[in-house]
Amino acid sequence: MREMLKTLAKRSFAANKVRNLIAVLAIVLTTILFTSITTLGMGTIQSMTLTMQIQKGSKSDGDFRNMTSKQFEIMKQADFIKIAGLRLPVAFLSNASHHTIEFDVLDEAQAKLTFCMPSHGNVPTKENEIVTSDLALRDLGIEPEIGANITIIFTAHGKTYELPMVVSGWFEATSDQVSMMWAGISFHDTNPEIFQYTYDKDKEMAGTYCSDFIATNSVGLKEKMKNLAIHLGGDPENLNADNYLPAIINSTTHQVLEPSFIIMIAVFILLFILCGYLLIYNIFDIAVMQEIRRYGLYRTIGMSKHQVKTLINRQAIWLSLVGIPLGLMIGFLIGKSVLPFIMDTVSSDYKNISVEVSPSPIIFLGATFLAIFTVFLSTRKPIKMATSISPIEAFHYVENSTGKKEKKKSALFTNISRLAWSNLGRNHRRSAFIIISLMLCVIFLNCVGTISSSLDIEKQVSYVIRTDFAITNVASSSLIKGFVSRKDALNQQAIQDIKKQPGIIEGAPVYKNTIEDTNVTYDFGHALTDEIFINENNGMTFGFDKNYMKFGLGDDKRPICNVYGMEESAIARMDLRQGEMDTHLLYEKMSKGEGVIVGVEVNRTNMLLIEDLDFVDVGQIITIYKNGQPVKKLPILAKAAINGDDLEIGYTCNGPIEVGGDGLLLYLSENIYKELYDKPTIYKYAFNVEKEHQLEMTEFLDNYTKIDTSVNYLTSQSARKDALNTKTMIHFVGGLVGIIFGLVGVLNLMNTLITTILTRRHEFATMQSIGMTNRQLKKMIVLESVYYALEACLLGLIFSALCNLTLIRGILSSMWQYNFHFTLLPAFIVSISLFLVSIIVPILALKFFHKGSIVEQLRVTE
Amino acid sequence: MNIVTIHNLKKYFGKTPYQVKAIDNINLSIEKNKFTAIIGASGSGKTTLFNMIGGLYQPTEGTVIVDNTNLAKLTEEQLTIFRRRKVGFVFQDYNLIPELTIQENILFPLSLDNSRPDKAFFTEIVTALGLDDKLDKFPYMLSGGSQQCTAIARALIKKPAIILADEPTGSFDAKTSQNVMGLLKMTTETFHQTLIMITHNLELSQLADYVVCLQDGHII
Amino acid sequence: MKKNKLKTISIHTILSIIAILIILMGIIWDYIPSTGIRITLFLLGIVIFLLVSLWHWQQKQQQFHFANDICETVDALMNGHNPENYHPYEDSQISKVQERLLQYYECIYEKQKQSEQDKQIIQELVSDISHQVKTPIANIQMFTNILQQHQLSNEKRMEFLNIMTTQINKLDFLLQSLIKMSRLETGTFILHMETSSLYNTIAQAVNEIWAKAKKKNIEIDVSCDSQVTVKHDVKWTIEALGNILDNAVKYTPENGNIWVKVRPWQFYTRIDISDTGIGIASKHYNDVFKRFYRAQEVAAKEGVGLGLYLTRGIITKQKGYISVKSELGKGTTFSVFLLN
Repeated sequence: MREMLKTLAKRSFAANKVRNLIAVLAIVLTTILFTSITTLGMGTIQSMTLTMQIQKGSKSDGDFRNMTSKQFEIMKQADFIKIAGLRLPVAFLSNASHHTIEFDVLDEAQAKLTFCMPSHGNVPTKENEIVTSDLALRDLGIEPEIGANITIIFTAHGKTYELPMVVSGWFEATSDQVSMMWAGISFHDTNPEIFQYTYDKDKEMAGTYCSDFIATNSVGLKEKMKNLAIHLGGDPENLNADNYLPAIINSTTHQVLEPSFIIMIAVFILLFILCGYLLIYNIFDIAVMQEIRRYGLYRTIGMSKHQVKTLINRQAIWLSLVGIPLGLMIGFLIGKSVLPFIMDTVSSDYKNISVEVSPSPIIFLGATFLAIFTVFLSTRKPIKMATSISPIEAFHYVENSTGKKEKKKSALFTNISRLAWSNLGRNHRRSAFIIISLMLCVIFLNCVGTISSSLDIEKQVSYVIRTDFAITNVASSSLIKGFVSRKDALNQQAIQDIKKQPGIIEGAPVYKNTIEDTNVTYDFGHALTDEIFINENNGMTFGFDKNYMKFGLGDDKRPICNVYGMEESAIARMDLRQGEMDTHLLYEKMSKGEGVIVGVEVNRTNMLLIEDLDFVDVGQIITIYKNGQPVKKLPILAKAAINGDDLEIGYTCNGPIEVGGDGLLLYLSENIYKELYDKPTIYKYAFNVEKEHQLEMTEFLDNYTKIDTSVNYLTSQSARKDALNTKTMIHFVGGLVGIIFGLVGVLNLMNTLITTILTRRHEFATMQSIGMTNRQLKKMIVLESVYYALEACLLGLIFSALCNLTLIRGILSSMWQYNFHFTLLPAFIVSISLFLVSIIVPILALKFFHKGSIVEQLRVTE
Repeated sequence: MNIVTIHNLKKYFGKTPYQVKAIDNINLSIEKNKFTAIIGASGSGKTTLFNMIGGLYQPTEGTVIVDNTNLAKLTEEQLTIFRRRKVGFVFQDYNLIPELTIQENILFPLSLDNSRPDKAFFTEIVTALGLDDKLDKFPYMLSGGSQQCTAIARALIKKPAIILADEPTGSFDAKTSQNVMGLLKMTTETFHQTLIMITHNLELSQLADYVVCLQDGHII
Repeated sequence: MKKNKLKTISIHTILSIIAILIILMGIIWDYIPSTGIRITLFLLGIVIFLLVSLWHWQQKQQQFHFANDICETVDALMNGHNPENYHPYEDSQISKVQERLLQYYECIYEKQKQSEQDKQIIQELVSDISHQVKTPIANIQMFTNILQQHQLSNEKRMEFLNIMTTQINKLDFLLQSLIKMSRLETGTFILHMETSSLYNTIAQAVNEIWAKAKKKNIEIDVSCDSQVTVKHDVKWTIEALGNILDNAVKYTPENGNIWVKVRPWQFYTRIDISDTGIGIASKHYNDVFKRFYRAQEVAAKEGVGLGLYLTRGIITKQKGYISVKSELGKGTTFSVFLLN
């Protein structure tokens, strides 16, 4: 006979349409919050992982290299290997100009794992067929086209091969610098002499077997791989061993989540649980309160606590059954559409970002779990209230009347606004919930407003680039590579081509020393330790001072520093802080060989020079050595605060670190620079463009860089757009959260007002029967609602101001992109709109829920 | 054979000096299968006594034994089950569940106990109370008298130890009052039930086998 | 219960089948690529299977305990003491059943007591009846003897015969009453309920006592709408109302009044029969409906004390009820409520 309880639950469920609607709305809202946050979280992780995998060029779990064919066969059979690809390295093509092209033999599994499957055309089958990227093909001088003929030149085992090949397919390049070109196994079969295994004798890569693989599971993978390498007779650790067999786990696939990211998600989840709790609790609380007499009756005729609980729970489950799937759907869609914004800002450092989120069951399971948890949490207290009320109390239950209050200060004259005011206190907790959620809405939106108005876009733009346009070699704009050697120089042709364009003003090349310029060194009286290290990648020697600042060293063991040669227009744009400030005078002196400018990096937050990097003073003399002989003694004329543009370009700074290290940034005039350095290299050409030609120029550069892939460009426009994206994201995410709290508050307000109207129907009717007009009644309810809003807004304004001055200022002061700017304008705007809503809601509620004549109203009394 | 035995029963509300002695030292036995009326003016403590027999209040002092069970020794949850199985309530304002049909309302206490109703017994009760043609209606569709009959049927269906009626005819005019009272008396007699009714109506109390008169918490 | 059992069995079976399927899948399914998943499936299947078995075992165990508990309870009740494992007022099956058993036991116990009481009452009844019958029979015997043995004048003979007729009538009345009573008791009392005019019924009942009333100069005032119809058994209702009216006439002094008033209500039709008789003390309100009850004050009057008992029986059988209200010395009102 449990069906009866079900019937009862079903019917009373059906009887409470308004409450159900609001409750479903609340659950939907809560679920939306959870789904969107989990979608965003998952999406971000997935996209970041994929992006990093593409960058790394492999989505495998790990790889083994330098194997013999026998070792490969054994490795393939290992129990933890699920899919193993095969890569037979051949060589790097020597006929590529700027792009680095690696030529290997791959099988299909390997190609799939390393993002080399042709998106156009087919995988290579014949021995003379290859697949490579569009960039690689362009670099080799042909347009990406299936069936195109191409000649490749490479050296293996000391022998140079020049082979004519046919393009059987191509794919879009995933990296600007490096591409894979691959042939099928048949290439291996027809050219056995290339694939002789001689690694143990001469470290020749050609002839070794490599394999990227997917593991059956990732538990203890590192250990398993190492053991397998040893089992195969290799040495996975010693780089110089003859049997060196690297077994490397793919760290991008198995990345450790950043704790800050996890904390952010956790904070949002907690916030949303709070938000859902505020809403759902209130609805159930009201529902139980409204029917408390009913629960009393149930208890009287013998319904046990458990049964009452079941009854309410059942209704909560039904509401969830409607609300949660709906919320899951909407939330997923919202999350999916917001993801690109987030990714744009989270990872402005990454190029070729791929934004992707699949409707993974984890998202839905997670969100469902959280939503159910919230519903469970929020219904616990109302259920407890319904189960524990004694039957007799329930029968006499009236919501905390204000009787006591009125006794205290009963006035002869009661006006409507006082009546409305006294009604506020009927249920403290509920009033508090409404006020808290509305207040949070005000505070949140104000914080968002403050943050976004504090976001200093020009500061970011001017840090990244001082001119309208700048072109560099792609190496310079790469975060990883940087302008290091002479081969990273900017193509002279590009400068000439750009100079032909209309509207260029103040175009100036910038020269910089490279790791090859070790014959020019500087002495500025800064002591280094005796230890000297060698960078194995490029053979640079470097040393440290006592603070472990790194200095790139020249042939005579003196620092080579990062030395820039500039024209006057470039010097004029620098941010001079100490010494001579007149840039014209300064440049004159500089070009006469009477001094240099020293650049010091700034703390981006306060834009002050970083003391640790401030080694020298204005007026100090720097001695310049060339080939070990002192050639010049130049005093420091001025000190400049340098930004990303002065250092390299944008946010990249790898070049200076590789070359001069932390040691001193010197700015010379163009003529002096050319005098000192044997082969002056231009790394950047910076220029402004007249307003009307800017669009044209952008278009030109866009096309130009497609043809000459070695050139990259940066514009202040795009830098501004990047910064604005951040602002949009803050608006979007912050606004979303704020609006959600606002919605919660308004829903709660609506709910409370409807309850008021329904439960106090009799009271209203009594009032009306003794002469209150409909207008007055409306006024009373509206006032009640307005009081809530006013209270919330007032508190919201106060807390917003407090929040702004403490929390927001504190956070923003540590972030250089922001310039704290106090504002309460958003709070005022929100307050006014809440105020308006608080007037509209009760009017609508009265219209829909206060119907029937006074007599009817009087009759519905219980 | 006594179904209810009350011994030195006291129920005080509030604390001294504002203590109200709602029930002050009452001894009472109520015979099984008889109709006992408890009469008294409002404030005489009759509702308190009623609540204590029904297991809704715990006494301050003394014992209430209903059907061989000392109510003071039961926990709250046990009292709930006690009410479910042993007490049929009939209230002044019916207290039917508006979402349930008449039939469902009547069978509700049984369903709470997961019991299958005795079909024949149900038909008998329903016919006796003239509800047989109204079973699928909802309470609001019926007159007050019929609603109270539903409440009586709901009390009878579980064959309780006692039926407690609190001013069962309090909201009716004299005519309907006699009507409903007659049905209540008739059905409790027919189905051999013990009926305990509290009322302030002396005329109605004459239908009772025994009359207990309360005044200021004492039996007079 | 049968239905429930079927349901649980099918759930067990279905779950077991599922478990076995999963186990089989785990063992033999080649298409599942990873051994990990295969082992998980296998283990999952085993876990489900174990859980189902555990569940089944527990249910069996519960049934076992349940049955034992009930047996214990019944044993204890048979031995006449309260069961030790009695869990009063718990929301459990055993508690529910135990309470029902106790209720049943008490019911039986009371019935037993009741029948013992009834036996005693019947014995008293028999002596009562024999007492009631003795006097008229003795009288008849005596007068028969006189008539047989003595030559009497015709007048005298007629007088004795008249006396004898009275005594025989008395016996007949007693006998009729006993027959009615026994029918009422044994349940062989068949009512022919039909919706018919209450006015006619009352008229017939009044008719029977009309003569007696006339003798005592008692005025009978009937106010009844001729349209009123009630579902009732005409013959027996006349008998019931007749008994009340008979009493009214009997205990009302000469020149008194009797009112019969009919008021149709929603559920009941109320028939008030008031007199200006000697009245009944309120403590005897209930006693007047008892078998062979005769108030001390009226011991002198003829009657056997069965009239009101029969009346109440007849009215209650028709789902009506009767109540009395009286003031000593002023009069009595019997209210008969007949279910519409």
